[in-house]
Amino acid sequence: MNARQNLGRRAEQAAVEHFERAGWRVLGRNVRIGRGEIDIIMRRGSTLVFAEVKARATTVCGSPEDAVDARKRRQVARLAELWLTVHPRALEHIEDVRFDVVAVDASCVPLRIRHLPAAFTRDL
Amino acid sequence: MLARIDSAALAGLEGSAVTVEADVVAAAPAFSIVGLPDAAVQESRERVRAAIVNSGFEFPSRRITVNLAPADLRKEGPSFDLPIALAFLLATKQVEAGGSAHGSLAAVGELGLDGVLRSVPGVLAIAESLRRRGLRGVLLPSANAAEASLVRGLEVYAVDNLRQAVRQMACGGEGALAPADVGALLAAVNSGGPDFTDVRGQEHVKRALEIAVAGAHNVLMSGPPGSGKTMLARRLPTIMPELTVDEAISVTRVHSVAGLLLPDAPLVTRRPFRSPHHTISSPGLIGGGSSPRPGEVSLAHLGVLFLDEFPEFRLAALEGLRQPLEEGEVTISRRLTSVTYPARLMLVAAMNPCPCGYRGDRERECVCPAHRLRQYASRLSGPLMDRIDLHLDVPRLNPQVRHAARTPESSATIRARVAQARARQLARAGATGALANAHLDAPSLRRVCRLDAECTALLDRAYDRLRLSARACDRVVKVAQTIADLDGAPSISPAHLAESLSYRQRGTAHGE
Amino acid sequence: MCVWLACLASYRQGLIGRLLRTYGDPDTLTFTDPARLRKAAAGASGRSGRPGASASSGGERVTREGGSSAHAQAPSCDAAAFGRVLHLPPLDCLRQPRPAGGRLVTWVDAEYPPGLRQLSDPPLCLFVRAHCTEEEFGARLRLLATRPTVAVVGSRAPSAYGEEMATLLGRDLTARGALVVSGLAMGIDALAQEAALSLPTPADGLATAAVLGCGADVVYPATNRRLFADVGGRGLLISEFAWGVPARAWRFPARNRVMAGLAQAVVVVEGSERSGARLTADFGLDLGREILAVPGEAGRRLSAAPHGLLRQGAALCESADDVLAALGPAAESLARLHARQPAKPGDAPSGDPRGSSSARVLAVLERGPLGADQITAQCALSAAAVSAALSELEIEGRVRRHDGGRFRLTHSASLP
Repeated sequence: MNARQNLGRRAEQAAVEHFERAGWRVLGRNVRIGRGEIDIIMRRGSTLVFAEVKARATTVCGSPEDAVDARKRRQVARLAELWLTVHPRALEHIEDVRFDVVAVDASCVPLRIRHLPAAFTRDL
Repeated sequence: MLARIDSAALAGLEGSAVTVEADVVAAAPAFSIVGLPDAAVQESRERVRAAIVNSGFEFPSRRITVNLAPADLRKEGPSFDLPIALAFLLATKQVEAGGSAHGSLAAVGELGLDGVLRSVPGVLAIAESLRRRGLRGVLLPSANAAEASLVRGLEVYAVDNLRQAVRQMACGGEGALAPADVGALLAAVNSGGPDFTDVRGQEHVKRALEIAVAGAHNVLMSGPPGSGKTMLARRLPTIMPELTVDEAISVTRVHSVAGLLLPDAPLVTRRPFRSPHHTISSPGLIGGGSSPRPGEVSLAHLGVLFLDEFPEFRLAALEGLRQPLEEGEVTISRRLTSVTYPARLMLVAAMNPCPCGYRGDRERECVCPAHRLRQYASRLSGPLMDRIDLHLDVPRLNPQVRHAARTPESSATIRARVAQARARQLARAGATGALANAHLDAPSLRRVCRLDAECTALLDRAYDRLRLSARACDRVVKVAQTIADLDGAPSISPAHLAESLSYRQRGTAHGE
Repeated sequence: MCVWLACLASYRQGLIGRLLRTYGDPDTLTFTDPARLRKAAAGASGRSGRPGASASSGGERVTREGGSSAHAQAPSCDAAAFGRVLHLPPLDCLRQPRPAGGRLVTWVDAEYPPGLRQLSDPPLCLFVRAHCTEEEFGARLRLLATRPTVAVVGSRAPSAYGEEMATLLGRDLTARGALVVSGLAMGIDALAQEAALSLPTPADGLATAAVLGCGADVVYPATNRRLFADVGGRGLLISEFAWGVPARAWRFPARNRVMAGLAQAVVVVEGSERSGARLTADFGLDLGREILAVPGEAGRRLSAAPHGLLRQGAALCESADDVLAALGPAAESLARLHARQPAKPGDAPSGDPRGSSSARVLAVLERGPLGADQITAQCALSAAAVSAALSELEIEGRVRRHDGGRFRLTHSASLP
């Protein structure tokens, strides 16, 4: 396991802990579906979130949220649709469905987590 | 949750019914627009979302589907921004349509990212179509409101931004604009502006132009640069009869679709004067383009189309004038649809007598070589020349003549005479089907314009001595009839015929 | 032999002149051995078809009138044709097919126009076309020699005044019995010849004659097709160039010298400074012909040629009378033999103008040409009335409209 994967793992772990502390119920991590995987699926109240976690060791190459380009957006949206098709009951009592980005800045200790709710939709 | 808002799309000069439906469900967030939208409509998504958020509303994370029904009609342009935004807000229950006892409100308008409403073209046609569909009223940008108020029987609510639109929607509409009084608007046309009284001298040309306008005859003016052809042409609309209410609406409709109306001048009150440059392309002159737009001939509907430097116009473009001159409208066909715009215009062409411009001038000499003169003259042949009834020489006047001329008549005076002549032609229209003498066809001409023996003899001599063609003879009689109408005479006299002959086309002496 | 040489000369400018310098006079030339001539012709330097070749004789300057340069092209076609003819046996040229009505008149024939024998490099053979019987053809040729002949030449793009004068002279000269000769070019030439043709053909059958800068079966310019046919029918189409030879720039000055040779008087109606008309007059001067010029408006470009000639001593020409006077009493009486109608120029047409409006307009126009507005101002009539009067006067032929919308009185009851 190389440094990058290590970083990613640690970032995800940190994010999950952060959300659980904030009252989110994490329904899944690294959920494989179709040909890809969704980093985090969680819910709180009537909101369902599919989150993409991006970690960076430095801030030199741009911020993590910029790494979610159009292609990535469409991919995440596609995977989410697919997952919802397989788990239709997940939408019970849900009013909002979101795609969020979780930016983990690993250049400092402790890791800094920034949560960007509704960072994108399939089209915009 | 499904919501609906009525709107309309422009198809040619008419509005086509469009219903904007918005469906919002909890599902992976997406925002799609269906119903054959073009690129501008697709971009509505960006504008609508920003406008909603910046107007203080919420844009919940849901799956939004917007349908512009019917699904087989192409939708173009940003005018669906407002109905889409309103439908979305209705669907997400951020607003409730109120006061719908008398029917629903439609919406039209472009949104800026800040929620401010922008004007869209063709509102008059759209408003007319909404009224025909029986809708009660319409929300639209303030800049378009005056135009829409020209339509009677439709409540017009001017809104500046999305918040206001929402408020109007919620209360069912209040503070509708008063319908415009078209008649009063027309009557209030202020004087000033160009007038025939500005032109000193050139009495013959003015007389000929009066005849041209009285009978709706097309004109070709030939003269050196600086002789005043453009100045005279520009003043022609001032001696044409004033627009009636229906005519004004008809002209306004075309100008509205072309996006030429100003917010504070929603009604076109003067006859149009269009003067395209001779490099204009065929679609520019006749109309067309990938999504058809009216061309200069339609913008000159019920007015004057002035073609300066006439021999320089492209043949392909001039070819397209045939239908407008013959039928008074122009049909543009595309793969799936065809659109017809009105184009009943008076053609006024101007040219130099030769390439250097000075052939026949008192002071300057013509330096054109013989073969260029021939070439130039040959550009003036063909079916278009057959439609020109009056050929005028416009010489350069020397200053003494200009100063010595009597005080010129005002346009109003001339217009009164023209109106009378037109009235006489209208009285005959039942028998001929032609509103003006220029549009008389050959059988009607024979029926209506009877020549007595003296006139026939004169015409025969003219045919012989002046080498007229048969078509030229018909034109001479038509113009003579107009002269007689201006004179108030019951029939054509030899004097009328003789004067008409002076406006005939003259052949060039070079080559046969 | 003459025919062969003439064919050769059709393709090489100034050939005859050069050969004559070697052999002296045309008679000698026609009896020289063909082989020697062949060598001499081939060896004679000078490019075919190119104007301004330095060694050419006869003063063949080529001036282009009106700037048209359409035919100074393709000298190589001439070179090819020249080469072809060079190697033909001379008799073959005689047997070559002729167009309808085509005949040959050679230097050695009795009917060869005497006037042309005075040229320093005369055409050795004339290719003539006329649609008539052999007898009539002979008669026409004889008339060409006997009737007083006047060349009427001028600009290809004349003013309305020039057009009027050309028509007037063409008609009146022919009516008084003279023969009008011209080049069938557009403008003055064509108008003069049309006017000559407009009168009924005289009993002797020669209405007019045209000298061409191309083969007598080639219509140039194409717009003159009808006129061409008319002249062929009732007159003579004369060319020194072989059948089918196309029009080229250098052939026009060449034909101008033939015109001057055939005529006893040359009248220049209008023309710019360096025009073909001027050239024809110069040829005429060289040959001792009477030169007349029609005056134009002072300072105008088209008055340059006639006024230049007047300054040099040419006679003033206002009418056919002046021309006949210049030709001398003998010519005048000769002309009277052939005269058709005793029409005099300047005749007012019969009948008074109808109505006082016309009379007033006519009175105003006496002082000179005016535009419609000016007439109206001086007439105290309405614009409509003036327009009507002008139309009637135009129909009667008493008034004519110029380019630019000015009207003038006509000189006689000519067709508008």
